[in-house]
Amino acid sequence: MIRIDLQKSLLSGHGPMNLTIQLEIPKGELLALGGPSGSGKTSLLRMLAGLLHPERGKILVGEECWLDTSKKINIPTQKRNIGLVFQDYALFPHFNVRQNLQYALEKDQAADHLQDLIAVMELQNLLDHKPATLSGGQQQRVALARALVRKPKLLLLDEPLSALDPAMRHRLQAYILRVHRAFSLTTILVSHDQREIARMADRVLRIEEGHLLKEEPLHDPPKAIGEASLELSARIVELKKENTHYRLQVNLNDQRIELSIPLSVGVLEVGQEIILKAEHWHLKNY
Amino acid sequence: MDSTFGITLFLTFKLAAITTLLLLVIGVPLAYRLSQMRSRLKPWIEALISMPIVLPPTVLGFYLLLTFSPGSNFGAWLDQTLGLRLVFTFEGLVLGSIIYSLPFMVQPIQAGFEAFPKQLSEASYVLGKSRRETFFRIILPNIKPSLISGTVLAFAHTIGEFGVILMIGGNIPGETRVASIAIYDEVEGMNYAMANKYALVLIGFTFGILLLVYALNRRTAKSVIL
Repeated sequence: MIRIDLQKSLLSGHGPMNLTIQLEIPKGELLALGGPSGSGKTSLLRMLAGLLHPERGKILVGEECWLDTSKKINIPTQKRNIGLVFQDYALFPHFNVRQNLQYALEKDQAADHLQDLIAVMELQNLLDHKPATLSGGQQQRVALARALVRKPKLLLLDEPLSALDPAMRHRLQAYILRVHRAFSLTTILVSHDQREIARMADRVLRIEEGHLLKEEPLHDPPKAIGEASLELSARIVELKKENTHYRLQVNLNDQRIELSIPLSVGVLEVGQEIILKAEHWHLKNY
Repeated sequence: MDSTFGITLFLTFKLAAITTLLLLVIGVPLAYRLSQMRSRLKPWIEALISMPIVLPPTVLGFYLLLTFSPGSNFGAWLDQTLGLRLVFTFEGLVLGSIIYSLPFMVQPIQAGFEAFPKQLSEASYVLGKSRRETFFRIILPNIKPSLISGTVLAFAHTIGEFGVILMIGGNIPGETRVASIAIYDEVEGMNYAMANKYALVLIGFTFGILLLVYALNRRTAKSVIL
């Protein structure tokens, strides 16, 4: 259980604002924090990380006290064992992906956990690349993996998906859920995207003007997104070239399906076999 | 004649190399402190460090001469207690050069620190790394172009120094006679061929080193996008 009770006066876009947060987070929960920008979401994460100091407050993580202003306790960022993924990833530009991950290792930590992370986040082919050569989604995966190297108790994600296109967002949501479960983390996700929040979180809270509003019930208790591993093989039976796309008729178990594929995939021919692969599923209407 | 030529050039480069090395040791921490500083003292310190850029070098040289000459209290004290004489000696030249070239080392490096994204240091702290480790493994490697600029500017500026050296160093072969002084001296003695020889070496060297810096900076600019 994580107990948070914090007060901090901040300067927001609309003038001074008092951030007052009281919150309890059970171990293993994926909590989403919503709310307009400038409402104090990022400041809350920064205070949890020890990068911003509240005027008054307490942070208790299990048995450990990270902060108690009344007792003048303030554990420095370095000793708080958190994973924090910044909005713009903050990968070290002079390191390649492997070095970015290795940098996060603690002095006597064995590197085998690194291998797990590389496998889970599918980074094998990116290890020798510098961050500047990676796409936004790839950088995000590296940042997420790097944040998990120290096996943190608490994972903080600040708008982790806001810079990505919809297809990539979907895939990364699946990645986040995967690591959240695989490493039994307690996770706080900040996002102003309601649908993103609803898809992933166990619980949703909203901050407005520095205050926590009461809980928003999730209309749909079951997890609305998950991973799938499905591979279907189909054969091209008809092929039409349009302006930017191929329009294909494929045969899948004697069923005809129409597909549209961008021309950029290369030359396609009738009779070729194609594999349809699904990496995640989500509930209808989400 | 040729051995004087060699000795003078060697002394010139030795002075520049020692000065630059000491300036790196002084300048990097100083630039970092300044980049982090929010105190009201900051503009005062910055102005003080930058003064040699605009001040005639003879002014600096003049006051150094007054301060360190054995006739002054401080100079006499240095001489008697530490056995250190800073007027008309190589050590004195190093000290004068350090003060004179300090802004050329500090300014580019400070600019580099100030442009460095704070979030990257924070990311390093969150990963459990100390300020020290973050400074050496994350910040310094990422401001390499600024470090190179500062180092080269300070080095080149020391090579080209004239006024300060003339004031506190004079023209003692093998001790304080550097190339720029030698050129002046040879011209005074109507020895244009010799002056030309010194001048050509300085021109070739300066061009070469600046070319190297720009080529290096171009390469790092390509591979590092901050």
